[in-house]
Amino acid sequence: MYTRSSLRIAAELKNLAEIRRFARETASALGVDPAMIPDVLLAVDEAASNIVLHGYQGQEGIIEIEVRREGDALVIRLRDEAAPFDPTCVPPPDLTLPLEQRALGGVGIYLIRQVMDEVTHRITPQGGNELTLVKRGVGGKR
Amino acid sequence: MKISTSVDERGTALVVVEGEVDAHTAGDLDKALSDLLAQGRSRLVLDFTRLDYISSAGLRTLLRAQQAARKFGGEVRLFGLNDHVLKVFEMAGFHRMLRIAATREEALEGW
Repeated sequence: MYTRSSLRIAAELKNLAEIRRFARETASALGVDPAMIPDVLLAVDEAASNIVLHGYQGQEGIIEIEVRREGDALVIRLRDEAAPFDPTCVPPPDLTLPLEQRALGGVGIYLIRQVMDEVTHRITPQGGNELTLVKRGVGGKR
Repeated sequence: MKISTSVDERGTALVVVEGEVDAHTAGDLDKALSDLLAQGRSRLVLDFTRLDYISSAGLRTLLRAQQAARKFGGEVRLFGLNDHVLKVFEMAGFHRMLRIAATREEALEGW
């Protein structure tokens, strides 16, 4: 039985559906509680969208996504070769502001933090980015 | 994602959105809503009964449409959200900025 799986895919918005499909199938195969899978898909989708839009900024590139089980946690790593960009430094949106004053940015990383237990960023030895998302207590089989 | 729009006899636009709204497909939703607003339709009712997924890109599109619709005296209303879609709205605080109606009738009435 495998406990880890990875996907390398072109960093394009049209691939987001495929990225979510990979995350759904892998999380399911790794025994993640079905009730938690929507949170996982949202986090992976938002993180990949950020890489395409803010990392590569429309330039060609590759996203590598690795999903693995570590005990009762699901650990997802997204790697890219874009310029260093740490989404965890993006300030959270002010959700108390009235509609007219609400900014349009920062909601993606905010949602990732809401649905995952840990969000960490590091620069890879190759100079790219690695974002690690951890969700604990995903239940089911190991 | 699939979008179909219609306008009733009172000028209220009904926009049925099916499938998944992500950063790729949000552009099509943005265009559909922008086109309606450009035609002077500011009462926009979105049917999410068959919407399976929405990300922050979709929320941003709805926020832009809401800001524009309010300027013209209307608003964006939603109904038919599944639990996962509703959770995304609530986490982002968007349930306070967009009216989420319990039923289609409620969404279409009381302008």
